[in-house]
Amino acid sequence: METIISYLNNLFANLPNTARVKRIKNELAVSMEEKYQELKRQGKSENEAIGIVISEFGNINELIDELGLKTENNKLVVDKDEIKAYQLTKKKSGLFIAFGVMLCLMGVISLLLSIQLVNDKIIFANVKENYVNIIGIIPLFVLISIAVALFIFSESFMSKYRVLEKGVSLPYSLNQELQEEYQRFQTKFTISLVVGVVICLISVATMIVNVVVVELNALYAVSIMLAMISIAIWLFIYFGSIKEGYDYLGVTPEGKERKKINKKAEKIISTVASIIWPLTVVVYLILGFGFDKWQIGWIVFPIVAILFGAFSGAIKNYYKD
Amino acid sequence: MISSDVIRGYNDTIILYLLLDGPSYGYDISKKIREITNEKYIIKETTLYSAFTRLENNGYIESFYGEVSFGTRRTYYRITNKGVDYYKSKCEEWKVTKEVISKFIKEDI
Repeated sequence: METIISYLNNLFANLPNTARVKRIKNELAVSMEEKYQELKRQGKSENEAIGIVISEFGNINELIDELGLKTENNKLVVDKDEIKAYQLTKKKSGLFIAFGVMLCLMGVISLLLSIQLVNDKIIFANVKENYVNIIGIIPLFVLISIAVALFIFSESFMSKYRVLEKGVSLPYSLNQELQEEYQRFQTKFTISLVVGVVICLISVATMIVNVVVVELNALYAVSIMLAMISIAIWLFIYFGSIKEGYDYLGVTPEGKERKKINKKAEKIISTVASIIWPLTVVVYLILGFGFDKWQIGWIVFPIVAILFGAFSGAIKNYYKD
Repeated sequence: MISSDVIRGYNDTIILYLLLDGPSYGYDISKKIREITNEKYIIKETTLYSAFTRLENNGYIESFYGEVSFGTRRTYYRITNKGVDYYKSKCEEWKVTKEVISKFIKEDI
């Protein structure tokens, strides 16, 4: 009998969950159950009975037409292979972005380090002061270029799945399977978050100790902190993007919530992000090159990150229906 | 076995006929159809329930909850006066249809 119920569930998985549809589904279930029980009473085997009940079910489209239904918002109906391919690509693209962001931070670190190393006459001791900043900026640009290439690659993998991310309609059994898979992943995700946060906290503590106790030069201390933070950010992005995959498939509570948030909110946030972040980098570079405030200028990044987080939270809330 | 295409226009008539004797539910109706036709016509589940939906929307039948079967309340259907009128008109229509089509049926071919 479970075969019959799951058969029905599968057929109804893509239909809107209205009271009327639910009623019909229940009635069908009862009717099929009765037919099944009677066939068994007549001495049919389990498999035979199921076979007959299913062969006499008919065509779900007949009901869909009669009820005047279309599948929910004409969403894409996908199969398991497509979903697996999507998840794999999402993971790969997350990996690329995570390394890209790490490289950007490495760029900043190399800039800070080279400035201090030159100042301390450890490297390029003979180079004129004016060229010092130029030396630092070369690895920054090289690393950022590689990062940008990684971002572009990651986007190109994902581009064919963008349609899928607008919302899919999963067959019932696949949805169940993904839910279970997500339950298992959640533990990993939580651990990665905890580890990431701990690394961030340790990194700040390390910096304070380095500056106050060890009396290490601030730029070295900040470099060490950023290196540690880059590991945490790698964890956040990599595991975050796997989770985002589940969100898009609608198997997480956030994913279900996400559907409600207006597409407009996401558009506004991404537009603001594309302006605010390059601007922040420019401000940082001006503070550094113009006012020689490398030591403290980096503070603009966490400040902007917090403000931006608050902003996107507010926008999402505002557009929630 | 009769193909469902041929009989499509008369599923409503069959169901209304079976409801003339009193209220009934899905499985009972499909079983009676099978028995009465000597298994020449087995109505598909989806056909039956789209017919119920259509007939109910048109006010030809009414549904109500009946006894519990396998943990769920069975839905029963009863024919309305409007349904009886509709049934009569379908019977008239069938007589004409039968007459017309039989003109084109050669017995000895």
